[in-house]
Amino acid sequence: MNKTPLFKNLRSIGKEIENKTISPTEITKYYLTRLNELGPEYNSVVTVTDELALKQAEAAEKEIMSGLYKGTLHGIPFGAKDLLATDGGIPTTWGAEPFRHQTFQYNATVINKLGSSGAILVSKLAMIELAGGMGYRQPNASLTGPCKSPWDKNTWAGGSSSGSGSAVGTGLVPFAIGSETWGSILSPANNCGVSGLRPTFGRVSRYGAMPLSWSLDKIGPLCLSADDCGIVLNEIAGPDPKDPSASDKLYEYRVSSNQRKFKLAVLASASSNIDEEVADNFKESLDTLSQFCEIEEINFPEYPYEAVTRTIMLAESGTIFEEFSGSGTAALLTAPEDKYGPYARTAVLAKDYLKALRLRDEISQKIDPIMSKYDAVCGPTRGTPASNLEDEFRGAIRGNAKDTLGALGNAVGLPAISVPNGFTKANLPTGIQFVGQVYAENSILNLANRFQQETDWHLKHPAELLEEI
Amino acid sequence: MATSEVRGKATMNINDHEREKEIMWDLVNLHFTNLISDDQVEKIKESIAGILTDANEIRTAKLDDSFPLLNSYQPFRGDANE
Repeated sequence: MNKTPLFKNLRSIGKEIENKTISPTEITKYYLTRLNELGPEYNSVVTVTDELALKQAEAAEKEIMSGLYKGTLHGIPFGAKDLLATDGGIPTTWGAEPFRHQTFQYNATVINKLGSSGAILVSKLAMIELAGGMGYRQPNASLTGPCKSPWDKNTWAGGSSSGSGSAVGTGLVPFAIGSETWGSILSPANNCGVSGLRPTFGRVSRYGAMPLSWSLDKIGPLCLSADDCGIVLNEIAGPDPKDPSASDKLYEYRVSSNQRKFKLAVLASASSNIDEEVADNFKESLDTLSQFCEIEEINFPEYPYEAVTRTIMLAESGTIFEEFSGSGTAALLTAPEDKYGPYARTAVLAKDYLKALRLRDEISQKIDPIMSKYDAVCGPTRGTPASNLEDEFRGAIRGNAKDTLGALGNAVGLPAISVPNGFTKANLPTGIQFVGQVYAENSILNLANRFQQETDWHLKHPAELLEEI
Repeated sequence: MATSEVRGKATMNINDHEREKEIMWDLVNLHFTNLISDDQVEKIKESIAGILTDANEIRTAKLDDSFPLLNSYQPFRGDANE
């Protein structure tokens, strides 16, 4: 292969495939090699789908050679979090030992949609067991071991879409699909120095995805840039008769050429109780953003955001995993705290769950007029950079710093994107998140695009990973 | 026993967490007693305490009366055009 696709954005790779300067088979073989060589080093891969990928690549190549070019993702390899069902005997492990050999007879809608776009599935990617819903407190909570950040193999990739973040950041796939119930796309985006988009609840069908919490789960992309996230969302969004919660609203990713000033809000408490270097990078980002944004500080109305989100998640997951909990197989999970995690939540009272739902309805309606005034509300993605692999982390589920944006955004289903915004002295990436009004993915994507035009954090990659293998 | 007198307020609002925690533990233990090891007991009780802390925040949050009660149920009929 004359030109390496490594760490190139999707438009560049797509153009080279369209121009036939690289072929889908060449590029697929290239990433299969990286997945097989580097995947085990980072614990980021569950299954490399060599056979399927080469078959799909050959089909894509034939189509393109015969003049049938489907669009930007045609012939481009991707990885999927291992909670998305895949047929053909490919295991879907949910990251958990009790499901190591689980297979499905059908594909998740997202897998089918990407297949229809001509994208090539090269890998099922590592994840925290059962999407982190059992209350894990440490990186070693997956059947594939603790997934490592591309920036330091002694630090954690984040979770629960750990492999999706790590594989993009290490150049094992050009893009990946992850999922988020509360923090599971944004956290790996932060720790791995990549861009991650959590779409509006219902924007992307969840058919064929492991449910953790029916009213909180979302599926979205992790990529090298905000623009890449928009390109992928364009292909995976939309209604699905197989998923009643998927919105009928159609989505089209539109890049704005308008150089207008964006309206941006900063949560007054955004930098409270967070790591000093994270706060410094956030402040520096606000300086950059002030060049093209009108920035206001705001407060959200007082609500128990974290308690509402956590109660909904615990009650719904308690029901979803009722049979699993009763079977005793939780004892086979990896993290000690996950082995007993399913039990306590079965005691959440119905009245508390229902009041949490009622509060969420009220929050949703009170927040919308606030969100409608801005292109985004922003804050640091996480209060800390990646933690060490051996350390218990101060998780998204419970911690010292309030995760108001994460709790609120996930409770009411607001879209959010995290993009890299700097490094710590230890050379670990930090991120900034932009949270938008419901169904306003294009606003936050265009804002993040503009931020990435003014900064180059997303173009930085670990030196050792730039060497070809 | 039912009475026509007002006899005080419900005790659940007094936040008797320790007693409620014990009752919840009994319930969890009743369901999963064969699956819970001795070293997990205190950790599960900690989880229950966390659930109750959240529950208390939710119970004390005032709902805005101007919002309708949550009611998203729609009756289903297969031949929807009838």
